[in-house]
Amino acid sequence: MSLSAEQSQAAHRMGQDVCVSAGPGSGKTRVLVERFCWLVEQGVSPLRILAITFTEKAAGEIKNRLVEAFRDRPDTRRQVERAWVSTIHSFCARLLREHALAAGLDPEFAVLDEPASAEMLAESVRETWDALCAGDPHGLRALLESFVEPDNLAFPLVQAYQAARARGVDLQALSQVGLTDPESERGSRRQEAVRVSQRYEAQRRLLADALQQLDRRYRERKRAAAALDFADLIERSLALLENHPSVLTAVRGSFDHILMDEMQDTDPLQWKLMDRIRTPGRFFAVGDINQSIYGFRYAEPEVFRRYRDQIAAQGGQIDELRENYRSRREILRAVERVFRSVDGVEPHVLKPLRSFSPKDEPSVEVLIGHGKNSEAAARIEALWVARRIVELVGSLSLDSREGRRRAGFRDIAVLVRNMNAAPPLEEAFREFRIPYLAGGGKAFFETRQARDLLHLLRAIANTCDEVALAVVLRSPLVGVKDETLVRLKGIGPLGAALWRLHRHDTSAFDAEDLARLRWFCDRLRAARRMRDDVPPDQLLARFVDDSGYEQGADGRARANTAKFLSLVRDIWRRRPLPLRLLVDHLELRRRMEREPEAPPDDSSDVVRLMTVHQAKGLEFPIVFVAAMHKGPNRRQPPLLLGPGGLGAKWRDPADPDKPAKDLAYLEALGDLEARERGEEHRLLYVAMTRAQEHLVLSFAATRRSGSDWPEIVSEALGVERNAVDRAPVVLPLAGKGFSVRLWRTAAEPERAVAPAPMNTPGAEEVVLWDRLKPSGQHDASVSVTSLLLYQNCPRRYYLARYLGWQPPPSRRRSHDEPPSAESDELLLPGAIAFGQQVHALLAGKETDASPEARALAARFHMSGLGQRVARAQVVEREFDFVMEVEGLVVRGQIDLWFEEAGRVAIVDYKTDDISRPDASAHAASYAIQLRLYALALERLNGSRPDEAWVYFLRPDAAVPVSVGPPEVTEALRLVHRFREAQETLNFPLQPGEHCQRCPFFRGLCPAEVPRMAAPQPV
Amino acid sequence: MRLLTGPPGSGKTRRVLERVRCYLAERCWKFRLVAPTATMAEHLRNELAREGYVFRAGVVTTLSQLLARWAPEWAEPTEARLLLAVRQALEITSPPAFERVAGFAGFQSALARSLLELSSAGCHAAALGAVVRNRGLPPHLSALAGVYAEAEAQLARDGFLLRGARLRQAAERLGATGLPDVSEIFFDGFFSFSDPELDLIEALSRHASVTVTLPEWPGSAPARDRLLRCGFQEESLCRVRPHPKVTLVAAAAPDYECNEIARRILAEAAAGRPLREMGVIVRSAGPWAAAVESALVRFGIPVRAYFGRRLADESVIRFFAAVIEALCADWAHEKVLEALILTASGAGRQAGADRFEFDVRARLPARGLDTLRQFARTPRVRGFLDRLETLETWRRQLAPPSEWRARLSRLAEFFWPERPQGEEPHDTALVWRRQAATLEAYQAALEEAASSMPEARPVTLEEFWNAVTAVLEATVLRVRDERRNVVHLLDAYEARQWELPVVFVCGLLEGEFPLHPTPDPMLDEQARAVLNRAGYRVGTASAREDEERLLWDVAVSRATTKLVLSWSRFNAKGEENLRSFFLDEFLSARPADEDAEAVALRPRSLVSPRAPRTVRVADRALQTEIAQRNRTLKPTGIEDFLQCPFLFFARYTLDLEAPPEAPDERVDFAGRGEMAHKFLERWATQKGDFAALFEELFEAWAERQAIPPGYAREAARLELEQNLKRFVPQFSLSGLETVETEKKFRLELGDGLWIEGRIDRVDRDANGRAIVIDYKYVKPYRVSQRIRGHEDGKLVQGGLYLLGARQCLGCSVAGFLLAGVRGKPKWDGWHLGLPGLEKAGVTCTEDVLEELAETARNRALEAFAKIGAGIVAPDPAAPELCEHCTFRDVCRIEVEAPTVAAAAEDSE
Repeated sequence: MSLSAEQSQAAHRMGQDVCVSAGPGSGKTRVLVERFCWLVEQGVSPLRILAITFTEKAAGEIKNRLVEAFRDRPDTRRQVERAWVSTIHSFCARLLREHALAAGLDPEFAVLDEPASAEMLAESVRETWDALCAGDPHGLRALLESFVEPDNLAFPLVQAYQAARARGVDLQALSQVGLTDPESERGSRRQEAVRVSQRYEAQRRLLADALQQLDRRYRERKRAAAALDFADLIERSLALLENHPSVLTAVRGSFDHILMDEMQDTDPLQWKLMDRIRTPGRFFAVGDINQSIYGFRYAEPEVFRRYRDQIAAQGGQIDELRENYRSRREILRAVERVFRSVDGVEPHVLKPLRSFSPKDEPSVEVLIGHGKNSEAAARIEALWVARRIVELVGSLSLDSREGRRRAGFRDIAVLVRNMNAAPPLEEAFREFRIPYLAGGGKAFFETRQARDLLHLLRAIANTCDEVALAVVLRSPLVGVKDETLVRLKGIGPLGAALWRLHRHDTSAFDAEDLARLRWFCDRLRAARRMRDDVPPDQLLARFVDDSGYEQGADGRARANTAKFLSLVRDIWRRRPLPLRLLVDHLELRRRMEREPEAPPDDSSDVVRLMTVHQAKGLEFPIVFVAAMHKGPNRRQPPLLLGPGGLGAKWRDPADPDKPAKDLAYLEALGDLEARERGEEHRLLYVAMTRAQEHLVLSFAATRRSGSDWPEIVSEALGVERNAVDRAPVVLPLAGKGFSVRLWRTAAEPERAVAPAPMNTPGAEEVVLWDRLKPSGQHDASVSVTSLLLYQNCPRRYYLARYLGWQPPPSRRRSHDEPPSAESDELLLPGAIAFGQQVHALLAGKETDASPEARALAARFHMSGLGQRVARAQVVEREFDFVMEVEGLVVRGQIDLWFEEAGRVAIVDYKTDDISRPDASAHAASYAIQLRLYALALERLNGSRPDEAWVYFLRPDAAVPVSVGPPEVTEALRLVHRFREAQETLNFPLQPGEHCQRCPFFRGLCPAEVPRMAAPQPV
Repeated sequence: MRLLTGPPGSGKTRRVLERVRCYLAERCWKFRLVAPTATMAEHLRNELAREGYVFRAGVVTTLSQLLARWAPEWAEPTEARLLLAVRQALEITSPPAFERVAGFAGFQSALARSLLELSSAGCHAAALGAVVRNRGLPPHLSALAGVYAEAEAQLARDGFLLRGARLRQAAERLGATGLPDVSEIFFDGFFSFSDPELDLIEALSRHASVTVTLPEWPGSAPARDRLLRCGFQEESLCRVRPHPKVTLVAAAAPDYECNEIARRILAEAAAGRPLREMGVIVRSAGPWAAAVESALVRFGIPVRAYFGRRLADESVIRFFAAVIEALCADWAHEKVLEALILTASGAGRQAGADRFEFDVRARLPARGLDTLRQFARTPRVRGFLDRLETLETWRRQLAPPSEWRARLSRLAEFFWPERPQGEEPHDTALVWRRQAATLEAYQAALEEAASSMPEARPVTLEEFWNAVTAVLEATVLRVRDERRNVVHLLDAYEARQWELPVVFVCGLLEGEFPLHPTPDPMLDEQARAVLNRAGYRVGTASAREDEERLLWDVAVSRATTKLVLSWSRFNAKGEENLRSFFLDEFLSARPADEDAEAVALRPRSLVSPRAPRTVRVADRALQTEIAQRNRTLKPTGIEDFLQCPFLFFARYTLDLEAPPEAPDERVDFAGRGEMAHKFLERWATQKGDFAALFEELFEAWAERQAIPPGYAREAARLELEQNLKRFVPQFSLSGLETVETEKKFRLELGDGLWIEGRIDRVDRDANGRAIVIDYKYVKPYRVSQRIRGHEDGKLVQGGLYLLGARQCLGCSVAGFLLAGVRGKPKWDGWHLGLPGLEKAGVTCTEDVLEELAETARNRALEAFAKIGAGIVAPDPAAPELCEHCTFRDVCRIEVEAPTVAAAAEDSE
């Protein structure tokens, strides 16, 4: 690993805490990895180094590099594989699990992901307000009357709550904020705000109370679910370390060194935690104040700044990495120029160290769209972005490891402030047939595939939901014409009409549509029957596959379908839900809008459209920073938490349409705006520094822009925004080391540029395969008693043995009913136990048998057969065996076989309560059993048994059974038929007198119309 | 005595089976082959039988079966039973060290696992106590020892003995007698042996020849050492199996990876390979097993997964639990619905339940079966409610556990299975098998719970159900699936005795394989080290890591012909995955013969390809029918059509029913508008006490809308009240008198179109000239928007009301005004310069009013013509409104709009 002098110094610095202030593209991950490796070289065990990263992805990347670095040292490598390289949340989760008892946690606690915690918070806040409504209706009413947005208390309260947690604010203290005298305040605004605070103090206290209640309820819910959210991981870890010094000592003692990446994105609580466990002089942090863009997650760049200043104050060295190994010199010069004096960004010189081939054209462009209004201007801008992409692809030469090559779509990233800016760009890309993938955002549940499948779930859950049915019927899942929908509705509500379709005259229906409807009806019926037993992804996949829903779909659509299936499978796997609750859960997630689209396949040649936040840590040869005029959502929330506590916007009693801000709100707002302004600028900094070879900055010239990016860029580059060019011009910006291609236009671009080939991601040939129609679906093995049962009644075998249904107790045969040649499991437990006792006695086992059982056993011993057994040379009792017959492994247990005077005899005992005259008839029904036993013995001994007997103990009747070749062949045929029946699951009914004694009769067996019909599917 | 050692795949099992075959050929049953699990024993038996041997099934057995035979008076508790004992022990001993966590299910499970592990290592409660005392272990281990002792005592009272103790007891007996009539015993398939297991082996070896196989790995070393000390002769085997062809597959995402496995299985099957010769190995069930199973099922590939499922997750159990929860919640409607809509209720499979659910969710009748009965329209639903009623008496009763067991057992009769009709597909039969097995396991769970509780103390249903729930959660249901020709889906443990021609090992990611051990909250590494030093072999972190490596070796050594190793490059978030370090290591020693990317694969569809969609209703007869159906329209209907033909189609022609709104959503602004209209209608005639009238109407409205009490209702009440209060002072228009409210009219517009409307209010001046007024519960800017909409011809309400007032109500119309009631009151519209209305709209001429009316008439007739012409394609006049459209998911505008455009181009 070859490092620059700066990097090497930083990586190897000792004797102080290390602070590496690293600019974009300066190789900070490389330095961190080198530091790790170097420490290991110095004899530090990899298991005693804690490396904290900002994302799981970064953790993986670092681990991979470390493993690679120690490839030739297997022992060290194995330790590195297990090294503590993780995000701060993963580290805390591990810490808490290890010390679950001390932390007072369920050791199997779950970590709630964002949608799950948001769902729980939403439920808690609803409960909180409802409880306040019930407990303090007057107080709530006073609050609602005073609050500026009485309808909108839930979400703002949650936001305030999350802010309070991230900043470690004591919620109790929020209720006890002292009020100042208005006159003591400077400025009329503040004085007025103090008056507002005084006026609404009681209501503000109620809000603070609500916040505490929300906290309590949310914690209770989490406790009941044994779950922690991300904030808990930090909070509980801190509490653990604070309350248990021994744990703190142990944790501190576990690590010789702590390395922290992206420190500028740390929030105060996270830092508090790291500060607690680090050992002075052994902490190494890398960060870049200018890339701190996670303020919305409560990250504070001040954390890193303070750390840096502290080291400097202690006389330590700060390692500044300003070398840039990513971008062209011109781009870096432009970045420096733009940010030489911008709030929130520390000006730095970025030293270009990567060499690029020379090129004539400017590497920086500014593109400004004009129009009669902001929408029109945005459209013009978007169209020109698209046009410029098409121009650059195939014409711009890029450097790569393999040498110079032409730019492709995959080299381009279009970065936007947020995905609200994406629609005009996406429309333009479609017009120019540019393959693209919108990364992330909140769009997944709004994709066509997610909507279709969500409605399919709703339709399966409840067929009264006509909207869901209409979505499905009009989608490619069914794809009927609107005419058909009208005809269907003519029959009745769509759901009912589907079920009644077969009963109506459908001659007017389109034949193809009718076939589709019938297919759908069958599939829907099947899905409804199985909806609680089959995972929902499998239910949906049947519709998707059978309908050819994905045929002709591009890779993006297929990825979204796969993501939906995977999402529902995962939910079900963790805990199956009734379909309706699953749908509710998904609808909630849809409303939360936090689910990104399915990830693209990186092999696709596509333009990436993504937010700047998503681009953090990435780099692209060509970057468009587009729709720069689109700012963040600047709506002021009605509640804010700031240095002065919880502030709110109240209703001005003089003018109900005018909000009145209390002092805490005023202060919090000022604080927020200052922070946001700085962060907005850093966001632009991050966006521009993603570019390697070419940077295009584009925006619409609008009168009122939500963002100051256009202004900052225009002023820095000397661009007059409102002018319009006839043709692109080049601004040389002589002496500043770069030139800018400028294009300001109100005209739509011509589409004369050859449209890009529609290389839709993943549109490569999809292989279609017929579903398998497998054979060999019979069971691998079978017991002889099952075969016997099958012979007597295939349907009963199917119900009782194959499926394993136990008839409900009320349907079991009572003592009074006549017995039959049935398998034992259908008898009353008492009868089974009795039979077992007798068999055990006859097998010679000691048992607590009843006198009746003993009497029956003795009867056999006294019988002729019993006498012969006493004389036999070979006697085998309870001879369990396995053998293969007709491809099946047959299991059986011969009660008794013996060899006497060269003759082998088989005996099977029966405890059936029959009379002697009935014995022969009964024995016939058991014949198959003895013939299979005979077969087993023949194979075992090499010769066929000479005799076989069914011995009925109660009437003391021994009935011979013929086991000659024809009879055994017949038994083999039965096994064959049995196998075929299992193969097709065709177990025909054999209605007869025996049905009267069958526990399934009038129940699960349809042999006759049941008295009490079993429920049928709709 | 022989000890066969060697790495996985070195032929240890083969060597044992060679010897076993000799016995079988001689029809000699004086041997036992002991396998670690029942499925492995079954697998071995079947394999031998298929080779043509007929033999006594009992010669191939498991350690548990041996114990059942030789320590029959003691049973080994199930995991659930142990858990119940732990719960009770915690309750009795209440150790302060566990005070904060004792109630957590996860803690109780961890505790039970620790006891099991300690017992298996031969460390019983007293021994643990001694170690804790003598070696200064942390105080929570002293608490653990106390709970352990109590749990042991509890279990012993009920005839249970933990594994270690039971093994030792069996060892004592067999040490004295040996296994009668058995001269040789083989132990095969075990990764290693605990000390109590070794005690047993040692005892057996005194009477019979014993052969033990052990894989070579650090975890087996202690067992090996002890066996050698006992006189076993070691024979070390080398890897003899030929190397299979290795393929490495990288896929974009897990689903693609699983599809790739399916594709390769299909290809193998097409080439004639039986499915049973193929297996998919995952490290552990996790998400991968489900993904693989789903992928194979999609292609019709039968798969047998060797994993169990938590009994509590089975549909039948969820149904029983829902019934009990509904009972305990006094038949709260949402709880009853949760039970009813499950298919296990029988009613849940029927359309009647769908209707019932919608009606109940619409009306929210709170609690009680009687209130629910009014919505039950079908016998099945009524029957279900009747059955629930039979449980009513259970709620507050105390009864002995055995009584609750018997009662809850009867819940089985609430479950209505489907009646098989014959020739169902195998997957359906498997579902029924699972249900049947669940019912059986449920009865066992009741028995388990009842037997764990003192019979003498009566308990409530909740108490008993709580214990049952613990059992249901802790019990794993394994359903019998013996289909012959299926692909095997195994975890790395189960795979150990399998040898298959084609094996897929998937999900090879860092963190998945190897799995990183979860920290143990009870026995940390330090405690484990102390226990090991004290002679109790409990696992350590390093031993677990060794085991992961062994599992890897097992997984990649199962294939005889083809081994396919796969991993996914991206996770669900689109972030790059790190592939398993084991995989890297494996490939560095043995590069793959083939390095492949996953191919996109889908099952062929069953229905014919779709015809291109038509975006209009083209059939003349149907057009006529639609026209007929819509020959009477409201102005809002016309406006809906003008906003979007598809909106009209969905709302009026198809009249689609949407699910009932959630309670919080019923207070939306459309609903509040309805309430505001009601109020203003009454106010026009009644005036007087604002508060009383508002309260009366609000309560009636909230009742009608079934809006439950709570914050949302109060916020809506306040918002309405404030807005109406602000509006009321401006209710009357200067110089006008309100004469009529809510005036209905029916107007024939021409071409067969009738307009039906209801005018909110008509005011007249002294000359009898009428101003038509419409209230809108919107903010002032929306009133202005609507005025612009009328001017642009996008809205027709004003014009049609003017026509209606003139032609049907006989008014001399002098204007049309909109009144914005939300926020700051706003009046706007057109009038003929009536005095006093200077600030309410603009003065206009009669021509303007006439034009307004005529434009509306023409637009309405145009719309009607288009409706009759079958125009339904989505074409929103104001796309920004689409976000709020009920039918936004139905219209597929992103597909339909280009189709319409293309159709238009074609026609040009």
